[in-house]
Formats: sequence, structure tokens, C-alpha cells
Amino acid sequence: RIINRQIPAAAAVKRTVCLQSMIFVAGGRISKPFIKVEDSSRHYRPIHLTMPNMPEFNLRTVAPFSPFCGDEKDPPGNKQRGQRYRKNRDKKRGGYCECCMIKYDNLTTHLQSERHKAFSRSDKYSVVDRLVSTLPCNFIHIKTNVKRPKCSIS
Amino acid sequence: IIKSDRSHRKSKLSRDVEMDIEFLYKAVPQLAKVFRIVDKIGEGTFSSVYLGEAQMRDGRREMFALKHLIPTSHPTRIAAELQCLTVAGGRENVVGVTYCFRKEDHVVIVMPYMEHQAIVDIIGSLSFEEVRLYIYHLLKALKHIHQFGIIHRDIKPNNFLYNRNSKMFALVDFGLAQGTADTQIELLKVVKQRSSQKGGGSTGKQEAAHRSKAPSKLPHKTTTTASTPLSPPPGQSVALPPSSSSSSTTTSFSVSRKVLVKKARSVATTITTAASSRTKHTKDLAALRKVPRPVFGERNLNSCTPAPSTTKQAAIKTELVMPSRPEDPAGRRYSSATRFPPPVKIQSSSQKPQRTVQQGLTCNCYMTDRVCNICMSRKQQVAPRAGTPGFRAPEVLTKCPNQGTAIDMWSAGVILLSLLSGRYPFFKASDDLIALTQIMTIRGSRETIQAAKSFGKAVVCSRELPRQDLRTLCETLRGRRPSPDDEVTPVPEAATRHYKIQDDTPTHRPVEGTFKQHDDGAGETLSSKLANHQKQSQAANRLTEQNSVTDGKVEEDERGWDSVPDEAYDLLDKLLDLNPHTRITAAEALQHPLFKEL
Ligand SMILES: Nc1ncnc2c1ncn2[C@@H]1O[C@H](COP(=O)(O)OP(=O)(O)O)[C@@H](O)[C@H]1O
Ligand SMILES: [Mg+2]
Ligand SMILES: [Mg+2]
Ligand SMILES: [Zn+2]
Ligand SMILES: [Zn+2]
Repeated sequence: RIINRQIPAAAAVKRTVCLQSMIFVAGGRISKPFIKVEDSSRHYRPIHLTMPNMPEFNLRTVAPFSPFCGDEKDPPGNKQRGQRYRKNRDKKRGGYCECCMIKYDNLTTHLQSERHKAFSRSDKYSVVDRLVSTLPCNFIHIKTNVKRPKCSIS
Repeated sequence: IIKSDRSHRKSKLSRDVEMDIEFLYKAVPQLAKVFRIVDKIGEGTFSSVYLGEAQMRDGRREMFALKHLIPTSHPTRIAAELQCLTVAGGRENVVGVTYCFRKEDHVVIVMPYMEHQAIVDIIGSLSFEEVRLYIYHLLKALKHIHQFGIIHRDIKPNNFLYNRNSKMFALVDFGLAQGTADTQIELLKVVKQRSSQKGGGSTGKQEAAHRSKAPSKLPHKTTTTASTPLSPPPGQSVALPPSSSSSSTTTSFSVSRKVLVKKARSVATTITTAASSRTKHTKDLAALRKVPRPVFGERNLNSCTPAPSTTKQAAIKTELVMPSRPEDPAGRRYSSATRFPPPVKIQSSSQKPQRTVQQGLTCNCYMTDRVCNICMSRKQQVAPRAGTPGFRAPEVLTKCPNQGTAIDMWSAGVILLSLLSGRYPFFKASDDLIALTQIMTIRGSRETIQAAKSFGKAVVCSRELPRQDLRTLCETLRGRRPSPDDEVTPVPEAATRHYKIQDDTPTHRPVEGTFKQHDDGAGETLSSKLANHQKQSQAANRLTEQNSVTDGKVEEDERGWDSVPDEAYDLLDKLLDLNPHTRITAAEALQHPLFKEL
């Protein structure tokens, strides 16, 4: 993909080259086919994209798959049906922690970090607890069979 | 994502699922006292959903969906999701909340379980009547939540559960919800301002404040206060972009974190580029700048520079809520790519001035096919973007800072388009601008450009793309009309060739200032070709349909698709209105003739 904007990290070098050639070598002209969007205040950086092909719907694609399947790399229909959720993604996946405001490579490791554990024991969750305290609880203990609700939340 | 049939429950659970269930019991021990967790029924990026059975006080056993949120979710986000459910849920096709358990960072939202079918599994067998009913009930849910000032932001079939047998519907997943300016959901109002530190030397300190808004008429009273101050950990700056300089007082609850990451890269790229080809021009511009250096941490990047109108040294009044999360990437759900790309090393401070070039400078690239140093050195505009690419409205895709409930109506339109054409997903793009272009291929580039003006965006596309007739399009995609490319009926050779090579055919070179209105002619091709082809194939079509009518079984197979009323396409047209200001509202849509006797 010849994309000058929002490109996967792996393509960093290429992207730079691409952007350079686009802006400076090509005299600022955006290669076609492209789309460009700019805020009419003209206070913000335009966003633009040169596409390998102009997207088009393909009437011959097979239902029920997207008529735009050709626009992206994925071949149509090889992964849509019958697939359940992906298993154990969480544990392996990296991500961003909203609580700690940092990125992590491994969820399990991050959740065990001192910083995160400190947050998880902080009073930041009182906003959740206050809401929960307004909810009635109509469950009973299944194991002990005690006939009283037991819904303490922490 | 979900398993609709019960068969898997009887079959032995996979080892993975067993382990996940064990883990959940350990993480939230209260669950074990109340639930027998029998299966895992969904796993997304931000949650795993389990099926649990509980004994109620009145002696009944009931099934529940247990949504275990990813423990990295911010408490305010969790509370907001919960509050949407407690305030608006439990009626009008919006899922209710039964209870919520928490232990430390593990939160489990308990909802009544609704058995349902995944749209992708049933789309091929839906009757038109079912589609009509499905959309009607979706609109009902939307009308309801919109009345509370909730923008759902992630309307798509995975979040609107449908039980085919019981004809039950449930809107779920308020994890990305955002409030309108006058929302009644207190936690969606949570807004904080932060004041800028002047001129560098940031400590990352921020002040949390909240809009004092009179408590509004909440159907349920809660003791929750209007806001939760979010202060960052010591020494940690807040990596949030401000909402745009436009005056919206609503939150930027779901400004995408991914946007930020991408922004980071994009900036780095630009800087690299600029640095390696530094011109006198940019130096001059840099010298001219009066804007203080960005004061927040690296990850704030250029977005923290005040907008030109508020530039002075005055405090930056930014309304922010919390670290936000990226859109739900349904399109990428199966991809192996990581959700959050690895950190990008931002360029060192020596290069920073490049991105703080005076913001307000205009150049003559506006509405042309060019970009220059000046416009590319401006800060990026930030706008809420959470959601799923193929369902995002044009105003979302173009980073319009003011977004309202109309964005959900667009998504509903995409669902209707999907169901009428029998294609799911309909749009398929991982990039916002590709998604926008795909929309233009259906709704027309001129129309898109025209509508974008109404929300303050100048769109330029290198090719004119004609607006499609929605009935023709849907019927063709459904296979009810032969595709113009099929050799069933003769199609003018030239037209075929043109259509096929459209991508590579150079179009008219845009002429600065005028070319965007310029009709390059290529546009007419596809629609006229379709129309042309339609005429030619109509006779054959009619023959086929007559044949099928004579055969009772085949007629049954039509499932109403042989007689879709014009009203369906009229409503579709009004939902897919490119202009959010004129787009039909949920309340209006429920009054549409398509639903007259419902
Ligand atoms: N009340 C419910 N009953 C049955 N299934 C549910 C319920 N709530 C959620 N699910 C299933 O779990 C999936 C994920 O739930 P959702 O709330 O959308 O989480 P996420 O934010 O991770 O997308 C849904 O698409 C649906 O299949
Ligand atoms: Mg969901
Ligand atoms: Mg969600
Ligand atoms: Zn954390
Ligand atoms: Zn320019």
C-alpha cells in the first residue's frame, strides 16, 4: 500500500520516503488516485491518502461478503464465517492501560506491575462502587444455599 | 463472536475456556458464590463475555451474560458504561444491567442473557420482513438512547443482538458511548479542564475540574457526582489530545488513543521529512512562532498546541475525560496485527520547533491536489473517532469535531444497506480515508464534497465517483439483477472495459481551484452502465421471475426480496444522508412510511 498517512510501524522508512517524494520531490502534488480532506478553517493539517487503487465495489463478489473485498489485502470470505472469538488473545496482546496511561507489551505482566496494582487498589474505583451500590441484588448463594443476598462488591 | 446455538454448552468446553473461567472465578471470587459459569460466549478487545447461571431469590434459575471488562479500563469509563445501562437500559430494546461485581481492577457487568444469532451467519437467509423488523427495533433503541443524550458510537450488528425465534432485540455495549452537550448521563458529562504550563518545562501536572451542570432529570437517582477528577500518576503527563478548538463543550470521551499513536508516527514522519529537507522557508516559519512549546509529555505531540484563536499565553481550556481507547476494530478483529502498535520513538527536541510552526498560516493548497510545508506543518485536528471503520459516518471519517447522535443514524443506515444488499460487512476498510472513498463510490463524490462543506470540510477526490441508485445496487449485489460484468446479456464492450480499468485510468488532471467541481466524465460510466445493462436484462429478469412464481417453492425462497417497497430505499437514502444536519433522526425514522403498521 502506498499510504502516506497512518501507516503501520513496519513501514516507517518507506513512509518517510513516500511522504518526502510526495511533498518535496513531486512538488507537493499528491499522487493519484488520492483523496484529501482539509478543515475549512485551514488551521489544521490536511489529511490525504494516495491509494494503490481507487476503491470500487465489485458486483461480482460473492454474497454475503463485502463488495469492497478487493480494496484490502484480505481475500474475501476466508475468515468471516463460523469463527468464534479468538482465544487467549488478551494474555499475549500488548496494549494501552488507561489507568496507568502507559503502553504495555504483555497484559498479564502489566497487570502485575506495582504501578498498576497500586492503581487497582486505589480509591479511583469509588465512582464505580457508588453506582453499584444503587443496584439491588437478587442473587442467592448457590453453594451454601443461604437465603440471603450476598452481593458485596469488594 | 458469539455462539448462538446451545450445542457448544453441552459439548465439553475447550481447555482454554475452562482456564479462562477458572481465572475469572479467581479474579472475582464473589462470582463463584452466585454463578455457575458455563461458557465463554464472546471475546473482544475490551472484554470477555461469559454465560452464567444463577439462582434468584424467587427460586428461579436464570441465565446471565457476564461481561468481564479488560482491567486496563479506566474506572470512569467503566462507570459511564454502567450508567448508560442503569439509566437507559432494560427497556426499548436496550439491554439492562442486573448487577456489577468488582474486585480491584476486575469488573464484571451482569446482564440478562439474550440468546441471539450472529448476523453474518443469518444474513443470507433473512426475509425482507425480518430486515424491516430488525431496523425498526434498532431505531427504537436509538430513539430511546438518543433521548438521554447518549451517542452509542459503535452501532453495528455485533452490538445489536437479534433472536430470530423470539423476535427479541437488544442493544448492547456502551463501552464507547459519548454524551451529547445536554446528555442526561452524568458520567458522560465528565469533563476536565487542564491549564497549560507556560513555555516548556512541563511537569505534566494537570488540574482536574468539572463542569458544574445542574443535576438533570435522571430516571434513576444515583449518588454519583458529576465528575471524577482524573489526575495522572506522579510525573506522568496526560496523553490526551484536547478536543478541537471549536467551542463544543461536550467531552472527547472517545477520542481515539490509536489516533494518538498514529499521530505520533505521523508527526515523526513529518518531522523527519522536514528535517531532512529543511528549507529556509520552514526556518523562517519556525522563528516566527509565538506559540509556546508543547507542554505536556511527548505523547501529547502537536495536539496540545492551542488553536490559533486561543493561542496567546492563556490557559488552554481543554475538555477531556480520560485516556481514550481506540475504535473497536471489527474489521481487524481477526487480523493478527496488534491493536496498539508499539511505541514510536518521537523525534528529539531539537526537531520539535518544526511542528509548532505558526498554525494559522494559510497557503494555496486548499482544495487542490497539493500539500506544502505550510499546511503539513499545522497541527492535526482531533475529533472523536471511536467506533468501527466501516460504520463511521462521513463527519467522523473527516474528523469533524462536532459530532452528535446523527453518527449512530449513519451506522444504522450502513446496517440497512448491508441487510438490503445481503452483504456483511458492507464497507471494508482499515483506513478512514479509504472508508470515505468507499462511501463516495456509493453516495457520489460530488454529493460527498457538497455535504462535507456543511460540516466544515473541504474534500478533494482525484476522481469523480457517481452516486448509485440504491435499489439497483442492492438488487445487483443480492444477485437479483445480473451484474453488468456478467456475460448473461450483452453489454457494450467499451463500457465494460472502462469499468474494469477504471482504477488505473488516469483521470483529468485536477486544475487548481476548479477541478473539484470538474466533471471528469468517468463518473457517468458505472451508473449509466448499470442502467443500460438494467434495460437489457430486464426482459430476461422478468422471464426468470415469472418462472419462479409459477413454482411455489421458488416463490417461497424469494422471502420478500422480489417485492421490496420503494419506502425501504427511501429510508436507506435518508439514513445515509451525507449531511448530518439533514440526516433523519431515530424519532423521525420510526414515523417513516416503511413502518406504517408497526
Ligand atoms: N446480554 C447479552 N446476552 C447475550 N450475549 C451478549 C450480551 N451482552 C454481550 N453479549 C455478547 O458478547 C459480545 C461482546 O459484548 P460487548 O458488550 O459488545 O463487548 P465489547 O465491548 O467487547 O464488544 C456481544 O457481541 C454479544 O455477542
Ligand atoms: Mg461490542
Ligand atoms: Mg465495546
Ligand atoms: Zn495499568
Ligand atoms: Zn499548503
